[in-house]
Amino acid sequence: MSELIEMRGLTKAYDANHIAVNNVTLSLPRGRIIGLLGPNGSGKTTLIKMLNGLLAPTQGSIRIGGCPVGVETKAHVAYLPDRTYLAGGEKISEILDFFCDFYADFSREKAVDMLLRLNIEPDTKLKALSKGTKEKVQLILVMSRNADLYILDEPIAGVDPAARDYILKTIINNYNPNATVLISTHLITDIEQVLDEVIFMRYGHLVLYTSVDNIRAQHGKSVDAYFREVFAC
Amino acid sequence: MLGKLIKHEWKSTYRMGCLLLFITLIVTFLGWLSFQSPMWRQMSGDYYRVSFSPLDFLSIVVLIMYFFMLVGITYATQIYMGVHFYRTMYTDQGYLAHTLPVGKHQLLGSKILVGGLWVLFVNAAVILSGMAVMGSMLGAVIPEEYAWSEIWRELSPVLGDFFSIFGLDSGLYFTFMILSAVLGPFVSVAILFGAVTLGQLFNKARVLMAILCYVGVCMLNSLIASAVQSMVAFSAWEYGTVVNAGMYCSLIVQALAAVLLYFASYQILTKRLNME
Repeated sequence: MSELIEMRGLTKAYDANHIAVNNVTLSLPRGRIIGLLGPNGSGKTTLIKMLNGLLAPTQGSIRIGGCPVGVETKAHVAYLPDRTYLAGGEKISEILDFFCDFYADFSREKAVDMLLRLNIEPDTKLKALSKGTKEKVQLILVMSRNADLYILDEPIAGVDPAARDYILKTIINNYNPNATVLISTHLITDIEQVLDEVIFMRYGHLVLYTSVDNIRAQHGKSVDAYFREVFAC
Repeated sequence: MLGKLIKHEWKSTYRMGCLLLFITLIVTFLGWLSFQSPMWRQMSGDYYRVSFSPLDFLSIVVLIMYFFMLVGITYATQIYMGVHFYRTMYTDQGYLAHTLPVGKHQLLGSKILVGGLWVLFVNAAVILSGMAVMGSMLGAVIPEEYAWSEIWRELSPVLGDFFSIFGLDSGLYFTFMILSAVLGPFVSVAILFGAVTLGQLFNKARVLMAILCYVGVCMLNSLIASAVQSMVAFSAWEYGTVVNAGMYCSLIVQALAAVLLYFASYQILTKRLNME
């Protein structure tokens, strides 16, 4: 199987005492839903930021689809950050125009359809929406792209269980099957059902990369139970 | 992609830009209004018979406010552009800007172009405002029997003397002034954005460091321009030459600083970007 993401000796050190990601070497295939799991401060978000070109690695390299992180990879990566990155004063329709202009793989029809299913009018200004609805809008924007790689940083954190179900349903129903979805979270129970593979991280180190089936077969436990065992305090 | 970036940058700044132009218009009206009080009309006659009413006092206050507000508008434009750049590049909104499939040159170029255009428009509006209020003042204080052509005829030799005293070539001077007025806004915006980007190299207090970088760059520019001017002064001993050199040096040093900071910003965005 062709590898989509290749990381070699990837390291990010903010200073000598604070190494957020430490010498991670990892290859991720296409067509999988992969959970990036680890306790707070384990380096998940730092790793994701480096994959998106938001942080420059201190050492090592990343290749996505054979290209180093840059204009080419950004055209094929759909990224949902753990924060609201849209200007509040803009209407959703203006944000849709923005995405149409910059992402060739963005489907406006798909986005409008998903918005209307949630009773969100495209003429609404973003600042008029609740925090949870803003997160749903951002997710809709990301999942309306026909990307090769979806990177979702804590997509279900801070939302109610019903919204979590909606978000997971949206991810499952809308991602390109040939693409890989990398989901960072520490709410494993909610997300376990959709995962094919998991990556465990601790203190910036790669602890484990394996399939969910493998965890269940080898350890006779759910991912959540095994995570608790590995990361027991 | 550059065109699309410019379009969206324009869309995200036009409200504030138009507001600043509208405020300039209002302020200009206030400036014009201040010369409509009876005191100014009386000045065109006998100076010793000018009476001073509360309305005249108000007109002086409004005139002072006009000058301060005009200066405020030019500073507000720069501050707005700096804050907008910081917000869209280095806060949460920067997550969108830096994950767009566009090159860093395009990203920086679009911001400098649009920011520079707004500064240019506001500067032009401020100059036009000053000319309008100056016209209003001349209209108020110059006796009615004087024709504008007559005033200009009398002023022309004075301007000629001014240029000869300072050793200025009027054609060269106006070319320089136009060049400075057109390029200056883009140069100042590039320096501002470069300083904001330099501030991102620090791990903590990035806004404060960006402000300090901007102040530092401005001081360094002045220092270098003054040093070159002083060297010219020692070699030339001619007042006009020194003034000319100071003027040209200032723009050249600023333009060089803008180019340097642009490439520094490009390097930082490419190799040292650290979004919090």
